[in-house]
Amino acid sequence: MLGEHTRHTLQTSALVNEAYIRLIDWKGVRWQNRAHFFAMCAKLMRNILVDYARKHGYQKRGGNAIKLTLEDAAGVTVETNFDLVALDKALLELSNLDKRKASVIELRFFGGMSVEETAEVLKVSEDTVMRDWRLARAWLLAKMSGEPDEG
Amino acid sequence: MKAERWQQIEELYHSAIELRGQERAAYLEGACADDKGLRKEVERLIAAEERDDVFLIKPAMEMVARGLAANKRNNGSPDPDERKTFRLRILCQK
Repeated sequence: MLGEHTRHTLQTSALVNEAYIRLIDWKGVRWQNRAHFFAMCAKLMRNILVDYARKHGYQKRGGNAIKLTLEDAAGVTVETNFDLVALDKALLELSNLDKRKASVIELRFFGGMSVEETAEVLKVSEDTVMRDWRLARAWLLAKMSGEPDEG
Repeated sequence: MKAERWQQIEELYHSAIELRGQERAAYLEGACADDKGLRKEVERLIAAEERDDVFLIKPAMEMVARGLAANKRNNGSPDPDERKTFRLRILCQK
């Protein structure tokens, strides 16, 4: 009975708590600057959210996908399936191919950073961030749809 | 994939995505010459991008929040802990 609801709930408060615990666990970390701190936070958020999706899963609905209702760029509401665990795996592969593009996705998507902030952290232009973001997003989509690539 | 190959794909992708239909096809035809694999890879990436325009459009935290809200609608009663957070937020805004 205690099942479904508790299992699928991840409160913001619980998330912040978890982030805090993991953060103070990094005793050895020497914070170089603000950018370094933000980059680590994005990584932390990624770990927490992916761990959560993996542990509590959404397996009953097929894979680890969460069903989401989102508005596209034109403001039209669409239903989409989103799989954090699959994204994490694809992102790892992308990072072997092109580390900076994987970082752009990590900072913007998991860290919630703007283009400007991402550019500051990575020490590149905003234009580069936009271009990286666009190609990385396309690459991840193709990867996650299970199409074979060139290898 | 080799780094040079990836760089080649990247350049073609950014140029081709600005073009439409016949123009794009003609551009890729010329730029890829006999390298069919290269053209296929670029077209595959463009197709992926054009197929889904909501992927990663919101930050992860916001998507989780939306998932939560949808979950709550399906399950009825709000979670007590979350109600606490909400109240706290209201207090902070005063």
